[in-house]
Amino acid sequence: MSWAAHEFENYFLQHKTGVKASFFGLALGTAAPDLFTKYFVYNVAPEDAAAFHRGFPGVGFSHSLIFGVVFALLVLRFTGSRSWAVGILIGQWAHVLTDFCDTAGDMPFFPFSIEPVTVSMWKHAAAQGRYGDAAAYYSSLGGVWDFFWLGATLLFARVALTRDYFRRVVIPADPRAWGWLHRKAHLPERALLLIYQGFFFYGAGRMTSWFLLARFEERTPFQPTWGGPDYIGRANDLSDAGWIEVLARTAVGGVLFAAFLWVSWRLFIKRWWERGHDPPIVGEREPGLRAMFGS
Amino acid sequence: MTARDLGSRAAHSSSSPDPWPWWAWVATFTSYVVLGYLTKSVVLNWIVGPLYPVLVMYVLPAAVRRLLGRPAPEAAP
Repeated sequence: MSWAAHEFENYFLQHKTGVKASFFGLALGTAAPDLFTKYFVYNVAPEDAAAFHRGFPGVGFSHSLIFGVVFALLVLRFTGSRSWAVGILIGQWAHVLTDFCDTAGDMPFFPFSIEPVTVSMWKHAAAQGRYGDAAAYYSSLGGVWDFFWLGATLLFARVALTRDYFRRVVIPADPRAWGWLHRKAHLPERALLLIYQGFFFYGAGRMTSWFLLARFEERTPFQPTWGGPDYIGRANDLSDAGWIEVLARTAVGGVLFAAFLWVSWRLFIKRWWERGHDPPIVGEREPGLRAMFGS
Repeated sequence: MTARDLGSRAAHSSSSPDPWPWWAWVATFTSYVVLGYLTKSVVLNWIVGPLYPVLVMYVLPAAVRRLLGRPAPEAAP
């Protein structure tokens, strides 16, 4: 699993979507797969945490693309907000794609394929408990992965952290939510800006704290090697299938998932989408991916 | 400032510097990392973590000012 990378992704994605996605939607989407499952992973099934977290049966469906689709559709259906639906969808999909990297991987095309997809960069270590998991992550390439996202955000999406961008893009993309916070919590714009920048702060802060805890309290060795850290003995790949088998099953799952989306679009999603509403700044959404990306 | 002002400011904004000096960020970040190290889950979680800057840089100073009976500064909105 990734840790702070999911906070940094929010700004990267906001920069790519512009006014077409709500920042709160993005943040909820990137957090959702772990928000709904982490407690159970650490407390209910700690001995087989990887299989429970990412596999089937278990809560692995939360790390599938269809979970993002269902969550976004529920929000679209009951609130009518396209910006939130787009934010949740893109955020959750980004989380799924980011979590390919640990040894447990995830099932992107569940339920059409329950084959986990992984590149096994670092060990999924939830079986060590929360602190042991954090120590293992920040002793492996996982910590480097977080650092990569921190750098990518600062290099390519730094503008998304500025007050000017917050005023020009983030508030107009979701005026209801920011306006509600402004009215109900009596927060002026500069306090709202702190809430917006807070997710980046949290990502950088927890990355630093957990790294220091791993070095000086847990005293785990820093082993940023492929598949590390080595001190966690057992790898926890959820499948013993070879890469050709994984590729074939995933490809079939992907085709079935795409077909399912297309049929659902024709049957009801299109109707719900057309009934939905946008903030004035969005104007008429273009078709295809341009409905979600670009200012 | 009303919600409408917020939207109007967003629509007619010009380039403006961030309202918080760099040292305020450094102090807040340092305190967060130290608290995170000492208390772990108390601040290293999805609720307190993202809200920590607004709590430390805005809410806490405002509460202290109110306790001391001092008016809010005429700073940026």
